[in-house]
Amino acid sequence: MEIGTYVFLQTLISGVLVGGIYCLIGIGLTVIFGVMRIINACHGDLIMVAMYLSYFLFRSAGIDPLLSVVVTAPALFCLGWVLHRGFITRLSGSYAEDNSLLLTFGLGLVLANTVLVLFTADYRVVETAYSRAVWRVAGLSVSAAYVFSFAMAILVTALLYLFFMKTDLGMAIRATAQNRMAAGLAGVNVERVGRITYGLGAALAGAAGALFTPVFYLYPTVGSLFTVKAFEVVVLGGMGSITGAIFGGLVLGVVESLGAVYVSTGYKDALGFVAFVLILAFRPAGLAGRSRL
Amino acid sequence: MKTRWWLGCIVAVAVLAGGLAGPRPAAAQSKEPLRFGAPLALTGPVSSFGTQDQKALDIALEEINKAGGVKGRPLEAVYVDTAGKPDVTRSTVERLSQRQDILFIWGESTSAAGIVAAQVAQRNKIVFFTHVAAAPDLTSKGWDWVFRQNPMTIEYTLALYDYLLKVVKPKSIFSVYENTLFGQSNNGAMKAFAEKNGIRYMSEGFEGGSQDYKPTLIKVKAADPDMVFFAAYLLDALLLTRQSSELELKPRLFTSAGAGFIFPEYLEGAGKAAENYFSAALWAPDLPYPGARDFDAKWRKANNGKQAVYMHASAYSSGYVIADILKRAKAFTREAVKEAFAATDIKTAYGPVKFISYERDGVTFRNQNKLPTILVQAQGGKWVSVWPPDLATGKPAFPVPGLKP
Repeated sequence: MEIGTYVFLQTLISGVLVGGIYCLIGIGLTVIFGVMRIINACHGDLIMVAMYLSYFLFRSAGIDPLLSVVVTAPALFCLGWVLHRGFITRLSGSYAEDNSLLLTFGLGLVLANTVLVLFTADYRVVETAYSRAVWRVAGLSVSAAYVFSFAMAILVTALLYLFFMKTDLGMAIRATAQNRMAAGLAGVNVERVGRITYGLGAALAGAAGALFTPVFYLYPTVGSLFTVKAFEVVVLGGMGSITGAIFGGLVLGVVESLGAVYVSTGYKDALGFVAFVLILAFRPAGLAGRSRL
Repeated sequence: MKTRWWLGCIVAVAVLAGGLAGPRPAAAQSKEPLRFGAPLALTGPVSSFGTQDQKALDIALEEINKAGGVKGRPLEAVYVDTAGKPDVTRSTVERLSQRQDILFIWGESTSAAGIVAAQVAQRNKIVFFTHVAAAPDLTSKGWDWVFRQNPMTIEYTLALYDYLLKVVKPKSIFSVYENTLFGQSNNGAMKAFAEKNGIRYMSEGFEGGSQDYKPTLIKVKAADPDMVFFAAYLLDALLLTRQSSELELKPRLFTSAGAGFIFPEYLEGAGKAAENYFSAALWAPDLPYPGARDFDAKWRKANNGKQAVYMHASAYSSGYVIADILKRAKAFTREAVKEAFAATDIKTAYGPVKFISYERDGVTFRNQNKLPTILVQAQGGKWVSVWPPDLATGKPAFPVPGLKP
């Protein structure tokens, strides 16, 4: 195919696939914020913990990282539950939202540094059969591992939708998100819903982590990279909205990719932020509008 | 607030007492160790540099101290983690300079941090001795308190240039470089080489640690260059290599500026994708320097059989350079240490070390050690020295099978 078309299509594919990764990172964060109004600054570090878990499962028991999702997601759910019960519950009152940023940032530091002390700063890398597998479609190369992440992002979104629309617990969570006090008056155990939601957000981070292990390099402070992207995605897409996280992730991925090729690689992240600012200027609540799960 | 003023007084007194009871000056005791500051990246994206350099220096210090140290006193490195962040380096070197017992500063892990350390050291009149920071700027500013043992980025690729001019004769070069001082200076040097020799030159800088380089590599593929030149640290080197192979990038050859590429971890992690990559290198275990092979053997023993690379050899040898300097120093003061540095003339496992002034491309460098560099190629999962012929141990595989002829 003609070189100009090749470049455009390849870049677009690359951007969409990276966007899928971004979505996955953002979904967990948006769920937590939408329901609990908690700014979870340790989200990236939760992903990092899941990556390490997945890595060790691979090294010791040979469990493929994609399969290890069934272990990392519940494990991170438990971790999220414990963190919420132990620390986040203590936030109360009208300053809870502001304080949550500081608290979760601190939790993130503790997580990253604990991992650093336990496992050293060495890089870890997982090589699976599909880590470098590439599918060739009409002369374009599509990374298999990224496609799996993308597929997982879609699957997770579908499952979350079913969960929120069809199950009692899902509806209770939505009710809490809409109006905490009214939900409490209607008989929802708001405290418990908060814990479950945080755990859910952490479980989503857990799924993301397992998927990233074959693709990204692992070191204790990699979490901060993910946290920044997660926030970009979530604010871009609308805080609390899952569809927003999807759109936000895709927009960010594509803008960065196209920007890197057609403008300049050095400014890749800056262009993502420019898109971010522009969208917020015209739609302050984000792409998907108001918080709506 | 009103009733607790006495608490404030107690706290203030405690803090003052703590501050005054700091480390005693080096001049006094006899078994008191001779200390020097060692800021380096022990965490973060370039932690592989820092942690391995620390290991290598420790091997040297242990050997030296076992043999009695210097004038009966052991050498001690005060390591401080700067995570590869120049602003942390700045405050670290400031703090270390304030300590009475620190005789000089050794480090850092990147050029970006190194230049900051050099600036601060020069201002505080304490020697900054680097064994690895490679951007020319550290020794081109006439700073008399800064000494460098290793070659500069503009010298890294001398063997590569020679090989390109004599054998490859590329018509176009695309350089992909990390956009801090190390990458930028490598890019600048390669650009100057290309312009001087009429080679078409394209380049793209990238933000280190990005994880996804496909957009840049797509651009490279579209430009179809004869040679691709990478300047990156370990994490990025691995990803660039992997992603280049995923995109089926096929120039005539891949080359790199050493750094991230030279680590055994790179060859392990990149596997087949890195086969036949060329890299600039500053040292190899089979070079005719005293103790080079021995050091490689020691390093392999302590590191699961992994081969030693140039930073390790440089860090190790710098320990011996330090010992030599402190032996010759007229007193254990910063001035005397600086004089001793300037008079250094010693042979080490890394090569001969003598800090001199010389000119290159119209720029004068001061307190710089002058060493030849070599070109290595990844053959069968190992780096083999292939150029110049008088220092080579293997033959270069060129044209590279599987790439553009």
